[in-house]
Amino acid sequence: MKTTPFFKAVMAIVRKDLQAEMRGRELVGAMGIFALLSILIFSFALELDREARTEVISGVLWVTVIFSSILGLNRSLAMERDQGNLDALLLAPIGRGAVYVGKLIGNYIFTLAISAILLPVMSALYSVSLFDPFVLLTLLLGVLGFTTVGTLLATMTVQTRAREALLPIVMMPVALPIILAAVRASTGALSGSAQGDWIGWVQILGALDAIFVVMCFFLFPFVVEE
Amino acid sequence: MTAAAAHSAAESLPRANRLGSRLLILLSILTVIGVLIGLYLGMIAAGTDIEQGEVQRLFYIHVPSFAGAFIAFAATVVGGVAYLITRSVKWDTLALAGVEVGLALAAINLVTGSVWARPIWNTWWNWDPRLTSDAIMILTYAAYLMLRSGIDNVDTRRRFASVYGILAFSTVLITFLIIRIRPDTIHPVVIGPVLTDASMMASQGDFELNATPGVTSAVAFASAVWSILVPWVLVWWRIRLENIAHRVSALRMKVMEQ
Amino acid sequence: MRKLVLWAFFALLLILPLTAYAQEGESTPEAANSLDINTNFYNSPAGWHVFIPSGWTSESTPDYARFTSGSNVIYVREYPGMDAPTAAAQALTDAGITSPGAAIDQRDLQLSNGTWTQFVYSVENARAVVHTQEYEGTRYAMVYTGDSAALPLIVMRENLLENPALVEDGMIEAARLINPAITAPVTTETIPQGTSSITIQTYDGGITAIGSPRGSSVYTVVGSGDTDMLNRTSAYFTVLNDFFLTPDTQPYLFLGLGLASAIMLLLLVSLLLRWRGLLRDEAALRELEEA
Repeated sequence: MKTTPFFKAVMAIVRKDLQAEMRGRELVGAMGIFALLSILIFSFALELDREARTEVISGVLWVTVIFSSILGLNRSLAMERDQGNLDALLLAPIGRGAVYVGKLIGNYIFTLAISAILLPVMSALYSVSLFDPFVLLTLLLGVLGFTTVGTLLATMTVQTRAREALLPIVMMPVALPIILAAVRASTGALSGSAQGDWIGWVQILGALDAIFVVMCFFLFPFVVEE
Repeated sequence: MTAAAAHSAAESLPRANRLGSRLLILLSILTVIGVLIGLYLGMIAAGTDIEQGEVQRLFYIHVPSFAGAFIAFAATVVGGVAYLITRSVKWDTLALAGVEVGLALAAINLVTGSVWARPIWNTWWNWDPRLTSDAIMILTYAAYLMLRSGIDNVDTRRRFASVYGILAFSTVLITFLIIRIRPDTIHPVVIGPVLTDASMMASQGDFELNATPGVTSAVAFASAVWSILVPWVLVWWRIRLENIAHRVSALRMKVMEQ
Repeated sequence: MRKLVLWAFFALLLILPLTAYAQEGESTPEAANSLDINTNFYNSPAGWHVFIPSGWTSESTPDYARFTSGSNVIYVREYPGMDAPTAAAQALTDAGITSPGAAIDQRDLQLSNGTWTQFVYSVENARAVVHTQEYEGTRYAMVYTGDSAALPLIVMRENLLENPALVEDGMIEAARLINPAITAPVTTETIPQGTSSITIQTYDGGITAIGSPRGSSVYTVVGSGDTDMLNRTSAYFTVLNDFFLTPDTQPYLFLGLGLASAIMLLLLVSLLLRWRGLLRDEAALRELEEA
């Protein structure tokens, strides 16, 4: 059987995910509302003065991004499974790696879209500008890191009995190093301290991303065999 | 080799089984003796630490138990990779045994560290990078057990557990390497000596106090015992338990079919 | 071939912790500090130690530390349950000074290693200084004395960092404890030393004082101004500042050992219980099978 070229297959899957999202807006809708609700709750719960706000804002940003991304990952893969899409994809003449990369890019785009909504809203609510080039870089790298792990693990957990409940339990500890590095890097970038103090965290983040992308790419085929 | 030996011992000829059992019992006795000698060296033979007092002796358990946990978790990675390649149940059994033993040893590592920190750092817990990553590591392997129990199909369970066991090892490596990225800066000083002023104390001499041979040999011996004998003997026992479980469930299937 | 690769991978994993061990020793704070008996006096039962100043002879016994250089003596000992004046007087007697009379000056000092009480005694034609501190029910005292009066005297001054002139003021106060006739220095010279400084003052009657600020105290040595003075300055304050009590942390050792064995026991008991449960099941199933 002749298989479709890797990139063509990846792009086809990404396009399929985006088109489905354009029609239903199921994912970004749910994730966006959840994210906005959480930052509102955070700003009520933490009534902070200006200085304290700069300290905690990157923590709030990351917690919100991660939880809404877990929500999105669960929905994205549950939908695939319930509608039998996953089985169809696996039967199609494309490599398992392409399926993984396609789903990963889709989830990455959705989570970045949520972050793009969050940044201006949070900047306004906390009156701290988040549009710093290094914060944006950290966001790109950090979101890539945990959607990489998350896509693999969500594919696993949607096939289990506990389903949605299991993903955060399984994903959080593995993704925590990424989150830790991302929070440290963006806090450092926002605090205005010397670049040398926190640039190491950005490098760690990049290294972790590389490790996880390679590991998850090679482990994915074992997760979807039937 | 022990894992394979244990496995073949449990499933093949009774004679080999007996041989394996004898070896395991011999190793178990050796381990107990080794641990006792290690405790003697650490608790009695080595000198008292002048800065930290007696509590410093926990060091002789704290570090070796991490080495043991590392070996056990490494066994999980080996078991996971080998299972995904060969699909032989024995490798998954090795992986599961590694997680259970590793969790116990990592818990010992964490608890002794925390108790040590109480008098020396004046707190049971701080968000020191290494402590944090160590706690994350333990949670990851707890999640491994949760994941296993959440899957009914045995083949899927073994496959997913293998994948997760490989992925989880990244937290072990991070715990290990984080000290190189973010070295601990808290130095355990309780009351003095605070570094004296260079101007007044020009001739105060060298503050680097040398470790006596007793300390070095206690650490070396305990590490050898805890990183080789303890995890392997425990893993082997756990594998035998799992083999009995397999035998019982096969028997149960057979009885139910009747 | 596949097996070979697997075992090679496994062997690699086994070697990894060993390489980390090599680095571990250098970087963990837990590395054990043991005692070098050539440079330290360690009182094992009471758990304190002092640094032996270089060039001084140690005439210590297991009970007390006694360092000598010429006719200068440093004497350190613990006095359980005594109050400050009693312990100071007793320490003077133990150091070999008879009938010193009452202290001519007494003051409390907040230093980096605790609150010390400083006593100054008049001894024959010279002076003797005692520093004493109580920690968890035990009092520790150190005596400094000698024929030529070179003695460590510490005077507290507030806001020392903002106002360096207070160092000179403190040094005059210290010098007056040796000779009350002193009013003002004849010469004053200040030498900067890194972030700190050394001030040397000379007074009438051949008295010299060397002083340096540390925290909110002025460390001063007042004496005859010979070349040996700087060496003694260093020795006195080394003994005082490096006096160190080994904390009593034995309960925590037992707690740690107890918890560690509890965890190990939990694992073993859990293995045993599951083992026995399985064997019981197996026996029951075999019976069913035969029936």
